[in-house]
Amino acid sequence: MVAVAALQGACAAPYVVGDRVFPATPTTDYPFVADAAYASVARLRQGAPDRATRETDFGFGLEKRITADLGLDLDGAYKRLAPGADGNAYGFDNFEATLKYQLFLNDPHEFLLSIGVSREFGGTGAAGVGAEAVSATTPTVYFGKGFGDLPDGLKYLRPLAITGLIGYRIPDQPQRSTTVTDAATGARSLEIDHTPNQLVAGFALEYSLRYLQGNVAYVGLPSFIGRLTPLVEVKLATPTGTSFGTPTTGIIAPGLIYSQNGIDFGVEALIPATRQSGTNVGFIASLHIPFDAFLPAVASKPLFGGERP
Amino acid sequence: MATIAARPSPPRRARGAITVGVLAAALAPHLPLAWAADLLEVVQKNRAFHVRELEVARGEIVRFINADEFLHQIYVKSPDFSFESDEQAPGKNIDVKFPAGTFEVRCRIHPKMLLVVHAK
Repeated sequence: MVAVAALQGACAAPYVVGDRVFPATPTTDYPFVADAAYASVARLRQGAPDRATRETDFGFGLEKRITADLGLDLDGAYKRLAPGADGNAYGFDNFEATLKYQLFLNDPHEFLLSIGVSREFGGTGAAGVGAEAVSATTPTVYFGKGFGDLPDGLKYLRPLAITGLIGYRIPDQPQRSTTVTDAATGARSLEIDHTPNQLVAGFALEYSLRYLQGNVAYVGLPSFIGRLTPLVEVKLATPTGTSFGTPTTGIIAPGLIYSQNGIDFGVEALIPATRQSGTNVGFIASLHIPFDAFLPAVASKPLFGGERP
Repeated sequence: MATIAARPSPPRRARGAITVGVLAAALAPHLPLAWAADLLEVVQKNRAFHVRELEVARGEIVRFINADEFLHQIYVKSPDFSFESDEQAPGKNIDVKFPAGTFEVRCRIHPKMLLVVHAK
């Protein structure tokens, strides 16, 4: 029985709280720590239709658990801006690291609260694609809540879940000045860039058809349909205090996540919520693969300590 | 190993099919798993396996029976053996033949479900 007792301690996997298995969301960060790799491609067009800039992002990242509840996430993106007649710009965006800690889990209520801090490393990306020269730090609170605890009268709402985050982005240098020399006249001038603090937030409201058939009522959906999680995500960033021209941006992203064998594949439309966020509907496709799908199981364990009980 | 005492109810064995004899043995590679060897049944009910631990003899096949009203699934991830079933509708069975070793059987739909299989 010693073997069973030891293994039952290892029962809890990432993305799981109680009976809820949360999928990896394409647009907003989720509250979990994990051992996984992910990639995405996103496309959005900005500007007037006749001179729009098409932005294509190829995102990638790795997540690794240090302990059962503490994880590190490293991510980056390769961007392509296609302004048309002015030529195209290519390059990496700034790299970013996030340290996240799962602070509180409540299995019966499928609730999770996490805290984290993200660090964007300014200057690691290409200025031509908009990567900022200034580093920034974003303390963030994350949460996840499944509604499996709703009463029987509302049982068809039990597959609903919400995840979200609220963070405060603080640049290292709110104000940065550079001297610019006019090539034609030789005149020198001082340019001052302001990078205001920003409130960043994201939410995902999802309805798991797998949870429906596995925990509420089997309704005979075809396998493909039964693996889907329809969802809508909202992502916002707004300056606090004086904006210095930095706009509020937001994206509304309805879509689907297909989950099989622990792998999550998501597709969403990207609908700009403000004029500064874009002028056309774009899309994102993402793939989230746990290490144990392609590496030995040992790669899917925390570096230190065991799984949480 | 004191595994039997931990079982809420003993695994059900279905040995009758094996009496088909020499002909079945000769055709075994071409027949469904259930006809090729002994069966050891594991029932999935109330979002749990009816046993927590199972000993499997050489050549024995484990039949997972979804006696629940919900969808199930089973998977095994280990360096020696990996298995990933499709979703298992109520009333459906899944047969698995384990190689020698100890394996954790889990369900992706019900993360608390765990069965430890000791295969000889």
